[in-house]
Amino acid sequence: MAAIDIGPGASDRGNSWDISGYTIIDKTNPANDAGTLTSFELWYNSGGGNAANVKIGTFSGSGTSYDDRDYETLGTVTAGSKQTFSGKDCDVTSGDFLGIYQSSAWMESEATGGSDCYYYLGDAFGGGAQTYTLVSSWIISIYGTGVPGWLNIGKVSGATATDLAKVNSVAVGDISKLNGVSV
Amino acid sequence: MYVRVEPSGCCERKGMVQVRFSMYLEPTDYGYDKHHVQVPVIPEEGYQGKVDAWGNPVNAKHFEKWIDALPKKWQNNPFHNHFIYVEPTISDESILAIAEETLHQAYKKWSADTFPDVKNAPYAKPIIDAARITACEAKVQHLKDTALERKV
Repeated sequence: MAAIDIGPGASDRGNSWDISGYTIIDKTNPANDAGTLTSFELWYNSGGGNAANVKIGTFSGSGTSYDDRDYETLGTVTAGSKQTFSGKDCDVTSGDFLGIYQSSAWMESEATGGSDCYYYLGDAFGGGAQTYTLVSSWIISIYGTGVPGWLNIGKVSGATATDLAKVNSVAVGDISKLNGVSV
Repeated sequence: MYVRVEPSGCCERKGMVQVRFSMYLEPTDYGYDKHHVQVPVIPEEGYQGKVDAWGNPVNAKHFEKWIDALPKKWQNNPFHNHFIYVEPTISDESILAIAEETLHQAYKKWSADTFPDVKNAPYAKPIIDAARITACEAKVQHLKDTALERKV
Protein backbone atom coordinates (compact mmCIF):
# COMPACT_ATOMS: atom_id res chain seq x y z
CA MET A 1 0.00 0.00 0.00
CA ALA A 2 1.47 3.37 -0.98
CA ALA A 3 1.69 6.14 1.60
CA ILE A 4 -0.72 9.06 1.54
CA ASP A 5 0.68 12.49 0.90
CA ILE A 6 -0.95 15.93 0.85
CA GLY A 7 0.24 19.50 0.40
CA PRO A 8 2.93 21.19 -1.70
CA GLY A 9 5.98 20.38 0.49
CA ALA A 10 7.89 22.27 3.16
CA SER A 11 10.91 24.06 1.72
CA ASP A 12 12.86 27.30 1.99
CA ARG A 13 11.00 29.24 -0.72
CA GLY A 14 11.87 32.58 -2.28
CA ASN A 15 9.26 34.67 -0.50
CA SER A 16 7.49 34.96 2.83
CA TRP A 17 3.83 35.60 3.63
CA ASP A 18 2.52 37.15 6.83
CA ILE A 19 -0.38 34.82 7.60
CA SER A 20 -0.81 35.85 11.23
CA GLY A 21 -4.35 35.18 12.36
CA TYR A 22 -5.45 33.50 9.12
CA THR A 23 -6.45 29.99 8.14
CA ILE A 24 -4.80 29.15 4.83
CA ILE A 25 -5.76 26.22 2.59
CA ASP A 26 -3.25 25.24 -0.10
CA LYS A 27 -4.86 23.35 -2.97
CA THR A 28 -1.56 22.06 -4.33
CA ASN A 29 -1.30 18.26 -4.21
CA PRO A 30 -4.61 17.12 -2.68
CA ALA A 31 -4.61 13.83 -0.74
CA ASN A 32 -4.13 10.79 -2.94
CA ASP A 33 -5.99 8.36 -0.66
CA ALA A 34 -8.16 8.01 2.44
CA GLY A 35 -6.70 7.14 5.82
CA THR A 36 -4.75 8.83 8.59
CA LEU A 37 -2.08 11.53 8.39
CA THR A 38 0.65 10.71 10.91
CA SER A 39 3.38 13.24 10.06
CA PHE A 40 3.57 16.91 9.12
CA GLU A 41 6.29 19.24 7.90
CA LEU A 42 6.28 23.08 8.00
CA TRP A 43 8.75 25.85 7.30
CA TYR A 44 8.17 29.33 8.77
CA ASN A 45 10.28 32.33 7.77
CA SER A 46 12.45 33.71 10.57
CA GLY A 47 11.50 37.32 9.69
CA GLY A 48 8.19 36.86 11.49
CA GLY A 49 9.50 35.12 14.59
CA ASN A 50 8.35 31.71 15.80
CA ALA A 51 4.80 30.69 14.90
CA ALA A 52 2.32 30.61 17.77
CA ASN A 53 -0.83 28.51 18.32
CA VAL A 54 -0.35 26.44 15.18
CA LYS A 55 -3.03 24.02 14.03
CA ILE A 56 -2.90 21.91 10.87
CA GLY A 57 -5.60 19.80 9.28
CA THR A 58 -7.57 18.51 6.33
CA PHE A 59 -10.32 20.29 4.40
CA SER A 60 -12.99 19.26 1.94
CA GLY A 61 -14.89 21.61 -0.32
CA SER A 62 -14.73 23.53 -3.58
CA GLY A 63 -14.99 27.05 -4.94
CA THR A 64 -14.85 29.35 -1.93
CA SER A 65 -16.50 27.04 0.64
CA TYR A 66 -14.40 24.65 2.73
CA ASP A 67 -14.98 22.65 5.89
CA ASP A 68 -12.28 21.03 8.03
CA ARG A 69 -12.49 17.26 8.33
CA ASP A 70 -10.03 16.91 11.19
CA TYR A 71 -7.15 18.88 12.69
CA GLU A 72 -4.18 18.63 15.02
CA THR A 73 -2.89 21.14 17.56
CA LEU A 74 0.89 21.58 17.19
CA GLY A 75 1.52 24.59 19.47
CA THR A 76 4.53 26.85 18.92
CA VAL A 77 6.61 26.07 15.83
CA THR A 78 10.09 27.53 15.53
CA ALA A 79 11.00 29.51 12.41
CA GLY A 80 14.14 29.36 10.28
CA SER A 81 14.33 25.63 9.50
CA LYS A 82 12.01 22.83 8.41
CA GLN A 83 10.09 21.55 11.41
CA THR A 84 8.84 17.96 11.41
CA PHE A 85 6.14 16.32 13.51
CA SER A 86 5.20 12.66 13.97
CA GLY A 87 2.76 10.69 16.09
CA LYS A 88 -0.35 12.46 14.79
CA ASP A 89 -3.73 10.97 13.96
CA CYS A 90 -5.52 13.22 11.45
CA ASP A 91 -8.37 11.86 9.31
CA VAL A 92 -8.04 12.39 5.57
CA THR A 93 -10.07 11.43 2.51
CA SER A 94 -8.93 11.30 -1.09
CA GLY A 95 -9.11 14.78 -2.62
CA ASP A 96 -8.83 16.65 0.69
CA PHE A 97 -6.63 19.75 0.94
CA LEU A 98 -4.12 20.65 3.65
CA GLY A 99 -4.63 23.82 5.67
CA ILE A 100 -3.05 25.65 8.57
CA TYR A 101 -3.80 28.30 11.18
CA GLN A 102 -1.37 30.30 13.37
CA SER A 103 -1.97 33.39 15.48
CA SER A 104 1.33 34.90 14.36
CA ALA A 105 4.05 34.03 11.82
CA TRP A 106 5.34 34.39 8.30
CA MET A 107 5.45 31.30 6.16
CA GLU A 108 7.94 30.38 3.47
CA SER A 109 5.96 30.87 0.26
CA GLU A 110 6.00 31.81 -3.40
CA ALA A 111 3.58 33.92 -5.44
CA THR A 112 3.65 31.52 -8.38
CA GLY A 113 3.80 27.80 -9.00
CA GLY A 114 0.96 26.68 -6.76
CA SER A 115 -2.58 25.51 -7.42
CA ASP A 116 -4.04 28.47 -5.51
CA CYS A 117 -4.42 29.21 -1.81
CA TYR A 118 -7.58 30.24 0.00
CA TYR A 119 -7.65 32.32 3.18
CA TYR A 120 -10.11 32.93 6.01
CA LEU A 121 -9.58 35.56 8.71
CA GLY A 122 -9.56 33.65 11.99
CA ASP A 123 -9.21 30.08 13.20
CA ALA A 124 -11.53 27.99 10.99
CA PHE A 125 -10.73 24.65 12.62
CA GLY A 126 -13.76 23.11 14.29
CA GLY A 127 -15.97 25.91 13.00
CA GLY A 128 -17.84 24.11 10.19
CA ALA A 129 -17.99 25.32 6.59
CA GLN A 130 -16.61 28.82 6.01
CA THR A 131 -16.29 31.14 3.04
CA TYR A 132 -12.72 31.68 1.87
CA THR A 133 -11.02 34.16 -0.46
CA LEU A 134 -8.80 33.10 -3.36
CA VAL A 135 -5.12 34.02 -3.65
CA SER A 136 -4.19 32.81 -7.14
CA SER A 137 -1.12 30.65 -7.69
CA TRP A 138 0.40 31.14 -4.23
CA ILE A 139 2.10 28.19 -2.61
CA ILE A 140 3.10 27.75 1.05
CA SER A 141 5.41 25.35 2.89
CA ILE A 142 3.25 22.64 4.43
CA TYR A 143 3.14 18.89 3.88
CA GLY A 144 1.59 15.80 5.41
CA THR A 145 2.05 12.06 5.02
CA GLY A 146 0.19 9.09 6.39
CA VAL A 147 -1.14 5.62 5.95
CA PRO A 148 -4.20 4.46 4.04
CA GLY A 149 -7.08 3.30 6.19
CA TRP A 150 -9.08 0.16 5.85
CA LEU A 151 -12.33 0.96 4.12
CA ASN A 152 -13.93 -2.50 4.23
CA ILE A 153 -12.83 -3.97 7.56
CA GLY A 154 -13.55 -2.06 10.77
CA LYS A 155 -12.46 -4.56 13.42
CA VAL A 156 -9.99 -7.43 13.78
CA SER A 157 -10.60 -9.84 16.66
CA GLY A 158 -12.71 -7.18 18.37
CA ALA A 159 -10.12 -4.39 18.07
CA THR A 160 -10.73 -1.32 15.90
CA ALA A 161 -8.58 -1.69 12.78
CA THR A 162 -7.34 1.90 12.89
CA ASP A 163 -5.95 1.31 16.40
CA LEU A 164 -3.77 -1.61 15.29
CA ALA A 165 -0.15 -1.34 14.26
CA LYS A 166 0.21 -5.01 13.24
CA VAL A 167 -1.98 -8.03 12.47
CA ASN A 168 -0.30 -11.45 12.73
CA SER A 169 3.07 -9.65 12.97
CA VAL A 170 2.49 -7.81 9.66
CA ALA A 171 2.32 -4.01 9.67
CA VAL A 172 -1.23 -2.81 8.98
CA GLY A 173 -0.01 -0.55 6.18
CA ASP A 174 1.43 -3.56 4.34
CA ILE A 175 -1.82 -5.59 4.33
CA SER A 176 -4.09 -5.36 1.31
CA LYS A 177 -6.31 -8.40 2.07
CA LEU A 178 -7.39 -10.20 5.21
CA ASN A 179 -8.92 -13.68 4.94
CA GLY A 180 -9.44 -13.01 1.25
CA VAL A 181 -11.26 -9.72 1.77
CA SER A 182 -9.80 -6.42 0.53
CA VAL A 183 -9.10 -4.26 3.55
CA MET B 1 21.08 15.80 22.63
CA TYR B 2 18.07 16.40 24.78
CA VAL B 3 14.30 16.23 24.71
CA ARG B 4 11.79 18.63 26.23
CA VAL B 5 8.08 18.39 26.85
CA GLU B 6 6.89 21.38 24.82
CA PRO B 7 4.06 22.97 26.84
CA SER B 8 2.41 24.69 23.87
CA GLY B 9 1.79 21.32 22.19
CA CYS B 10 0.24 19.61 25.23
CA CYS B 11 -3.56 19.42 25.41
CA GLU B 12 -6.50 17.10 25.95
CA ARG B 13 -7.31 15.16 22.81
CA LYS B 14 -10.11 12.63 22.47
CA GLY B 15 -9.99 11.79 26.17
CA MET B 16 -6.22 11.33 26.33
CA VAL B 17 -3.39 13.65 27.33
CA GLN B 18 -1.50 14.79 24.23
CA VAL B 19 2.19 15.31 25.05
CA ARG B 20 4.58 16.95 22.61
CA PHE B 21 8.27 16.09 22.69
CA SER B 22 10.66 18.57 21.06
CA MET B 23 14.08 17.04 20.40
CA TYR B 24 17.25 19.12 20.20
CA LEU B 25 20.80 18.48 19.04
CA GLU B 26 24.07 19.61 20.62
CA PRO B 27 27.17 20.72 18.71
CA THR B 28 28.74 17.23 18.65
CA ASP B 29 25.54 15.58 17.34
CA TYR B 30 24.99 14.68 13.68
CA GLY B 31 23.43 17.47 11.62
CA TYR B 32 23.57 20.09 14.39
CA ASP B 33 24.06 22.94 11.90
CA LYS B 34 20.80 22.19 10.07
CA HIS B 35 18.71 23.48 12.96
CA HIS B 36 21.16 25.84 14.67
CA VAL B 37 20.12 28.92 12.74
CA GLN B 38 20.58 32.66 12.85
CA VAL B 39 17.35 34.61 13.15
CA PRO B 40 16.79 38.37 13.13
CA VAL B 41 15.89 40.14 16.36
CA ILE B 42 12.64 41.86 15.36
CA PRO B 43 12.09 45.19 17.16
CA GLU B 44 8.83 45.58 19.03
CA GLU B 45 7.47 48.17 16.58
CA GLY B 46 8.07 45.77 13.67
CA TYR B 47 8.61 46.79 10.05
CA GLN B 48 7.73 50.47 9.53
CA GLY B 49 7.77 50.50 5.72
CA LYS B 50 4.67 50.37 3.50
CA VAL B 51 2.65 47.16 3.78
CA ASP B 52 -0.33 45.72 1.90
CA ALA B 53 -3.66 44.57 3.35
CA TRP B 54 -1.96 41.43 4.69
CA GLY B 55 0.72 43.40 6.45
CA ASN B 56 3.25 42.19 3.87
CA PRO B 57 5.89 44.70 2.72
CA VAL B 58 5.05 46.43 -0.57
CA ASN B 59 8.72 46.92 -1.44
CA ALA B 60 10.42 43.53 -1.08
CA LYS B 61 13.94 44.91 -1.60
CA HIS B 62 13.47 47.59 1.04
CA PHE B 63 12.18 44.96 3.42
CA GLU B 64 15.11 42.62 2.72
CA LYS B 65 17.52 45.49 3.48
CA TRP B 66 15.71 46.14 6.74
CA ILE B 67 15.88 42.47 7.74
CA ASP B 68 19.58 42.23 6.77
CA ALA B 69 20.39 45.27 8.93
CA LEU B 70 18.75 43.85 12.06
CA PRO B 71 20.91 42.28 14.76
CA LYS B 72 20.90 38.48 14.65
CA LYS B 73 20.82 35.82 17.32
CA TRP B 74 21.45 32.08 17.23
CA GLN B 75 18.43 29.85 17.73
CA ASN B 76 18.58 26.08 18.25
CA ASN B 77 15.44 24.63 16.67
CA PRO B 78 14.20 21.10 17.36
CA PHE B 79 15.44 18.53 14.83
CA HIS B 80 12.13 16.71 15.29
CA ASN B 81 8.90 16.83 17.29
CA HIS B 82 6.79 13.85 18.29
CA PHE B 83 3.41 13.43 19.99
CA ILE B 84 2.23 10.72 22.35
CA TYR B 85 -1.19 10.13 23.92
CA VAL B 86 -1.21 8.96 27.53
CA GLU B 87 -3.52 8.38 30.46
CA PRO B 88 -3.93 11.35 32.85
CA THR B 89 -2.61 9.17 35.69
CA ILE B 90 0.81 8.64 34.08
CA SER B 91 3.80 9.72 36.17
CA ASP B 92 6.33 12.33 35.07
CA GLU B 93 9.07 9.68 35.27
CA SER B 94 7.14 7.43 32.85
CA ILE B 95 6.72 10.34 30.42
CA LEU B 96 10.45 11.05 30.59
CA ALA B 97 11.23 7.37 29.98
CA ILE B 98 9.07 7.44 26.82
CA ALA B 99 10.68 10.75 25.85
CA GLU B 100 14.17 9.28 26.11
CA GLU B 101 13.25 6.20 24.07
CA THR B 102 11.57 8.43 21.46
CA LEU B 103 14.68 10.61 21.25
CA HIS B 104 16.90 7.57 20.62
CA GLN B 105 14.56 6.27 17.91
CA ALA B 106 14.29 9.66 16.20
CA TYR B 107 18.04 10.35 16.33
CA LYS B 108 18.83 6.92 14.86
CA LYS B 109 16.71 7.79 11.80
CA TRP B 110 17.91 11.42 11.69
CA SER B 111 21.55 10.39 11.66
CA ALA B 112 20.79 7.95 8.81
CA ASP B 113 19.29 10.85 6.82
CA THR B 114 15.79 9.40 6.95
CA PHE B 115 12.63 11.07 8.20
CA PRO B 116 12.43 10.47 11.97
CA ASP B 117 8.90 9.11 11.77
CA VAL B 118 8.58 7.52 15.22
CA LYS B 119 5.55 5.25 15.73
CA ASN B 120 3.43 5.06 18.86
CA ALA B 121 2.22 1.82 20.41
CA PRO B 122 -1.54 1.35 19.90
CA TYR B 123 -3.77 2.25 22.83
CA ALA B 124 -7.40 1.60 23.68
CA LYS B 125 -9.59 4.62 23.00
CA PRO B 126 -11.29 5.67 26.25
CA ILE B 127 -14.88 6.35 27.12
CA ILE B 128 -14.95 10.13 27.44
CA ASP B 129 -16.86 11.82 30.26
CA ALA B 130 -16.55 15.08 32.17
CA ALA B 131 -14.39 13.56 34.93
CA ARG B 132 -11.92 12.20 32.40
CA ILE B 133 -11.69 15.52 30.58
CA THR B 134 -11.07 17.29 33.90
CA ALA B 135 -8.33 14.79 34.79
CA CYS B 136 -6.68 15.24 31.39
CA GLU B 137 -6.80 19.04 31.69
CA ALA B 138 -5.23 18.86 35.15
CA LYS B 139 -2.39 16.70 33.83
CA VAL B 140 -1.90 19.08 30.89
CA GLN B 141 -1.64 22.04 33.25
CA HIS B 142 0.88 20.12 35.33
CA LEU B 143 2.98 19.46 32.21
CA LYS B 144 2.82 23.13 31.25
CA ASP B 145 3.96 24.12 34.75
CA THR B 146 6.81 21.62 35.05
CA ALA B 147 8.39 21.73 31.54
CA LEU B 148 10.05 18.32 31.81
CA GLU B 149 13.41 17.81 30.09
CA ARG B 150 15.93 14.97 29.77
CA LYS B 151 19.46 15.08 28.41
CA VAL B 152 21.06 11.88 27.14
